[in-house]
Amino acid sequence: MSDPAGAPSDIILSVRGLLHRFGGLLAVNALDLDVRRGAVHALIGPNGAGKSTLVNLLSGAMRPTEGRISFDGTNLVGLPMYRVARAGLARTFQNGRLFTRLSVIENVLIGAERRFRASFVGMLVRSPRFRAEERDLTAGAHALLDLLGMEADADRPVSTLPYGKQRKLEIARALILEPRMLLMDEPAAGLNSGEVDGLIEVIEGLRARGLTILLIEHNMGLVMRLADRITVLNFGRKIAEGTAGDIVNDEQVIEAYLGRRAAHARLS
Amino acid sequence: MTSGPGKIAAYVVGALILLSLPYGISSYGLRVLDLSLISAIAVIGLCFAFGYAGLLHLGQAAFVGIGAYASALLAARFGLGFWVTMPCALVIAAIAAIIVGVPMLRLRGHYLALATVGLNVTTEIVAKNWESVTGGEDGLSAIPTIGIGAFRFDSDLRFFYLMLAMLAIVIAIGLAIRHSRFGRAMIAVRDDELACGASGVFALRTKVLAFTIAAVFGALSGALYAHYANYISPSDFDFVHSIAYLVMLIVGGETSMIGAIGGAILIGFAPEMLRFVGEAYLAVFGIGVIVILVLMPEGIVGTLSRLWRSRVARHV
Repeated sequence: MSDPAGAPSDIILSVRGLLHRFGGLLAVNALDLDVRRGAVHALIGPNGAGKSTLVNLLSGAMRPTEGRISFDGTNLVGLPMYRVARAGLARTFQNGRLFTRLSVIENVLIGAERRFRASFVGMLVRSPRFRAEERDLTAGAHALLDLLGMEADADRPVSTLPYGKQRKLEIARALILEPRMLLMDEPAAGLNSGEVDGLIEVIEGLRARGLTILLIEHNMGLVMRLADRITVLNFGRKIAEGTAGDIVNDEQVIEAYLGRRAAHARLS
Repeated sequence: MTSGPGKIAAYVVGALILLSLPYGISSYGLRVLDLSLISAIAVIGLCFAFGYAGLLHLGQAAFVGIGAYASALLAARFGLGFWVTMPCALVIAAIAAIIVGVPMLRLRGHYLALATVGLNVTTEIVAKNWESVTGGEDGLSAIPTIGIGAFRFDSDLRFFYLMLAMLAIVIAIGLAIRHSRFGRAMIAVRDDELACGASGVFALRTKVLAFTIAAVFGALSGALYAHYANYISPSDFDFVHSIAYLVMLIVGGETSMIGAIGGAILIGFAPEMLRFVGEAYLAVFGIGVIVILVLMPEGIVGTLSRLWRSRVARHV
């Protein structure tokens, strides 16, 4: 998928001088970040590095103090969350956020909101467009559940789903939006090793379909297996960027994760 | 939120109970029943704003009043029939709901609740003081009875069947909304507004839609009331009525339209059923509501459907 020449149009997400201040704390500090179209780009860093803040800034949940975020030529700074999603940048949440009073299939369909066109009146009079849309998007939602091996659960209330399937359902809800890029905030958190293997398969499938993925993850096994490129954050700053091979040997990265003395012990 | 044979059976049983209700009750009881069913339409509206979209709406009576006054005034000034004045009243209520809702629904939780109380009180003050139009405290009288051609719905029994037809239409429309993307979005907004944003749902517009649907159903209830009672005054639409609608909804089951009807009938008949307690009525009524809320937090219909499901599950 990725083109080593790296023409400018190959960059789908471009962040420049991004800064976010919580009181006296700089959670994200003068961050530049480029994500290449079609890549699985991982964002790692110790707790408190600013990863979650960055996801919230990119998805419009928070507004940056300073900086620019350009997504496929669209400026995202200042857009409310639903407009960012409609621009084609979807996200999943760290702890999983589902609609507990809706069934599994209805949860997926919420993600299809930007693809519905029929008006309220069209719905009331059962216009051909309304019926075609409901039919096609419901079929699309079923197909996504099928892809994730959850078709049998379509009509269950989400509260009865096991945790691993709840996480997958969130991915289905993001995918039906037909995003050009997906932000995944710690998708492996709380999953057992079998479920993590399933997740890796899902992400590889998405990469094969050309979807750009920004992956925020603590599970280093998963990151090393999937990431085309890794950015390491610490105290809100980018301290390293490169391939998995570059990152594991980077002195600053080892120091950030293991502490200064351990880093010296390991390097000496 | 489940569908299937259980739900259909519940609707059939409910319809049979409703059809047989007028027989075996007194003529006064029939009048109370008619009034309860009129309230039920306003309560179904509240099901969208509160039950689905989670808006703490304490001003539903304001829109019932707007519907009642609009329909009554159009009938009095222009000599128009109910089937013209009522749709006009619904449009007026919808426009009012959108104008008020767009700024007000940016508020959340108890701030929104307080704003809706203010809306109700303001509407009441306007109705009381704009005497040249609303007749002030004296209200409006001689509002014509509803008819079709030469036929008049001028008895409580005839009006009862009109109300059943109206409720059937309201529920059909309500179910269509609930099971479309609009209904799903309302429930999603109440469940998790952040996840809604991430899914591309414009939460404010969804809330305004739910609030407007509530207003339109409220206005329908008000228009029916005006032409049934033939007389309206500001006290018919005061804040106490808004609380009553909310109690009816919560007692019946806040996310169930059938529950809304059940709650409206139960609360409508409460003064009759509790006549024997005399002066202690309000105290007994209040305790009764609290007992229901503690023992059946999902409301009567919510609890019954849960028991029904677990019973079915045991037998399968």
